[in-house]
Amino acid sequence: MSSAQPAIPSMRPVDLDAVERELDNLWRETNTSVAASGGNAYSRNSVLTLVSFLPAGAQPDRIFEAIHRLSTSHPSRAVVVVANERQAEAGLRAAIGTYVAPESTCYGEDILLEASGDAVAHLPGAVLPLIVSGLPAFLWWLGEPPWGTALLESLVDGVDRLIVDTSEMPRVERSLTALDDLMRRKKSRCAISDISWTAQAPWREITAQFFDPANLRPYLEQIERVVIEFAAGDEDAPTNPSQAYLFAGWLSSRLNWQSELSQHSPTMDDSREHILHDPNGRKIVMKINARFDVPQQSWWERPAPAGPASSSGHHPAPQAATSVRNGALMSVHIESRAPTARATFTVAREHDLVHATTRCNVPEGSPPSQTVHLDSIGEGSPLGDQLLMFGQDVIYQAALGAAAHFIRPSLRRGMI
Amino acid sequence: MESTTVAVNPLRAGMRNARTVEPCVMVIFGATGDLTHRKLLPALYNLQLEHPLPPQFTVVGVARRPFSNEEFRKQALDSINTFSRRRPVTPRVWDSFSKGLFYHQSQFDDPAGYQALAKLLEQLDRDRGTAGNHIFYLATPPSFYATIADQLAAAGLAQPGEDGKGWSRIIVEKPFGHDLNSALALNKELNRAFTEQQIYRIDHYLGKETVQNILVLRFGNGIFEPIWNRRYVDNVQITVAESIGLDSRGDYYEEAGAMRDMIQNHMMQLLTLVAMEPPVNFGPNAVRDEKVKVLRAIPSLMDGEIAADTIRGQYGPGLVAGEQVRGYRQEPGVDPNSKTETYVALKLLVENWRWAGVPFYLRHGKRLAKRITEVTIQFKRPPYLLFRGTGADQMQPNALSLRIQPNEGISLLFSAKVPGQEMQLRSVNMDFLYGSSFGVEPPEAYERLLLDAMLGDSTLFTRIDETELAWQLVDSIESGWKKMLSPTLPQYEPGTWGPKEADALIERDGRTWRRL
Repeated sequence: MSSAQPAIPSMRPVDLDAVERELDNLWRETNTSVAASGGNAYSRNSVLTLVSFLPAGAQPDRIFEAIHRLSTSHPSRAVVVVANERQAEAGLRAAIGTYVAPESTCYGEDILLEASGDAVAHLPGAVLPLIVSGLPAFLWWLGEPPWGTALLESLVDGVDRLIVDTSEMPRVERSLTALDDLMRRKKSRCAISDISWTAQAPWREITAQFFDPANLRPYLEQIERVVIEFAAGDEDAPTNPSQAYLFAGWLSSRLNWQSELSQHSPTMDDSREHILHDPNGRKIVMKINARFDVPQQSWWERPAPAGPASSSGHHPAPQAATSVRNGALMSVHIESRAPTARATFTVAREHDLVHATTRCNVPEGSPPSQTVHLDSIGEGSPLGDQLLMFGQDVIYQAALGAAAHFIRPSLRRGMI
Repeated sequence: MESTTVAVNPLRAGMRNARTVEPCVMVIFGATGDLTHRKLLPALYNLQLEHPLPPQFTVVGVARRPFSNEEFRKQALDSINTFSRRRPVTPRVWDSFSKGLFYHQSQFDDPAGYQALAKLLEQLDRDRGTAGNHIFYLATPPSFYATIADQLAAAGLAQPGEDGKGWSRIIVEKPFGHDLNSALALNKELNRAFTEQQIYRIDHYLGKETVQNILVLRFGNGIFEPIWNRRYVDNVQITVAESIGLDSRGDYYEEAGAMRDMIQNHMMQLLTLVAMEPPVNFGPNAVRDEKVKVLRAIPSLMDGEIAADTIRGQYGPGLVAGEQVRGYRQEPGVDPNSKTETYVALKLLVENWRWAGVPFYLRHGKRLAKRITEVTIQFKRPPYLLFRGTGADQMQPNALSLRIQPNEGISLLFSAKVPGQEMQLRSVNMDFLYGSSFGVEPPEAYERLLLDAMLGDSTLFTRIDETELAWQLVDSIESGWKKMLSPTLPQYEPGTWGPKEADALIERDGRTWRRL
């Protein structure tokens, strides 16, 4: 073990085999000082263990901050692992800390593990004993997981759910197919999910809502064209259509569409066009387009969405956002053919980036448009929503399978 | 579009909001009143913000005062910005929501006003796509319930929804009657216009997360049900204690008293949830059937039992936290010689296979030592005291406490060995606090109940037979009190746990009230 200062100086370095004992001591010390100052004792509480695996160079303090923001709804033992395989010297060191959720007595504990060199391969032996017995355990892998390695496989086998974020992966098409493969292999042991999927839950919700009235539902069988726009940065920079593909995969898996042909024009407008057909043989054109020059950030780098009310019940008024998540959905446009006219269903992100507005034009009289605050219905808490899920998400699995199906022919032809 | 081949929305599968609200109009009678502005409008806005409701969702406020739509919207905005847990409003969402807010001026007994309302609803159904689906929320004094229901029926607005032309539902607030006869009469009056399936009687306690958690604790876990019976449970105590006094409701409270205000509805609901058998499913009738069976198993108290098994009290003047407070009889709107009870303690039995011989002790009062609502399942002592001479015989028996408010949570009291060479025992608490494990702010009770009414799910609403049976029990006690030759109404000090007689009621059985 290295005796160097941990990556977060405020954390207390401890021996790896003394983590549990030192956490007990830290809790007692904290409550002793709280009692001395006349405050209410903190209750040590976990409803889950969240292991976060960071690539070399990532800042663990930002991840702890993100986890602490979730602590009011998901108090957890947070284990953040920073792995640097390229460093020559093998080393594994641990540090511990605590946090208290704002305006509560909810006390949680943080563990930082820093591994380097050959020790990275042995991380499962250090991480798995730190998982709280009997409670759900989640493994959140930031960046691209090392598909097919023993490290990934061992850690995945030791938790209930692997959480990835394909919108943070540089080669998303390849990642989606690798994820689909992993999911098929691990189905019975560990559930797998994608923050990219939960972040777009509000879009699926609003899109589904168009077809809740029974008189509009038949339009689902008459869809001819779907255009999905996702956020992209500069035209020269790589794009990440993960959310768009998952949305497309969701629509096609729910409506039993089959993929027929894929085209991709990376040099002009980065648009992707897929030809599908429904069970009746009707052709559907699915376009996935990048909208360039939209400011983007990783979600944990964005300002926290409006959290719970203060003790006075007052929430801060939502402000316009300066950025969206990488590859966030910008609009969904569905065209359907009615016997005598065309029906359209559109959800579009507003210029302030935090709201979306629906528009529906149908021959029998259009329902009012509606504006929703995306963060309030789930876009702002994709990780938190993951932690509420237990077991397999069959709808996601089907959507991922369909998305991978779109992509595989293009991958084989080397188009992407 | 005419095709009907897509029976269900395939895009809804697996969604968080798997239950969907059909486009509808909520018509609120009493739209300028306190309940509307403090609870209903904020709850509807919160639902719109977090759920969200369908874009067609529309609210029509009905009241006697002359307001325009714009004035009503401005008042609604003020109310939401004052009372919503998600205040201040999100302007873009508010703009979208407020376009669906309308106001209709009418006297509650004016047929022309209802004809005009019917025309307005017809127009909204056409313009906003609400498909003839209407919910009427009566946020008015109960004396208007029958009139409004009759007028709605006369205006053709009480359709049950069987002809595919939309449905109507009616939501009524408590109190539902002031005794069994008035409840039956009121129900008969409502039934002239609406069927039982269309009537949603609100008891907002059932909308509380922690009340619903009683069912989850019992039927979502495997370890509690096997010991949830007479074999292991010694007694059950249900306490709803309020630290405040009347809060300017003197006129109402003089008529109601603690028994009608709290025991008949909220506390009987708690009792039924604790005592019911597992329902066959979580559907509206399955749950309520089981609750009704509990009420049927509670024998009415005979006149001779009333004096022994019920205690009334009334808070007198005194000091609370160093401040002088009025006694009940000095409160505004209260008769200086009032005989209305502000405290009730009673012992009930649930005579069925599960609970035979297990007393249920209920107590409720105003101006008590603290505000607390709690259900305690007090378990029996171990059959044999192995650790004699260690203090084991002095230990509190195991108790499982379900704290409804505040500090919502569950705690289990059990004995543990004090560390050391000697065998010494102490009672310790194992606590689960909602605030620690789930710090998120739960939705308001009204949000859940309004959403359920829109969804047509009446599980958390009171069915008429529940109401009737609860009144039957309360009437038997009220009637017994009236027959007492020398009725006693002990005064109790504000800030205490009520009259000493209440302690005697439970001590007579060799038990004590749980210290809260």
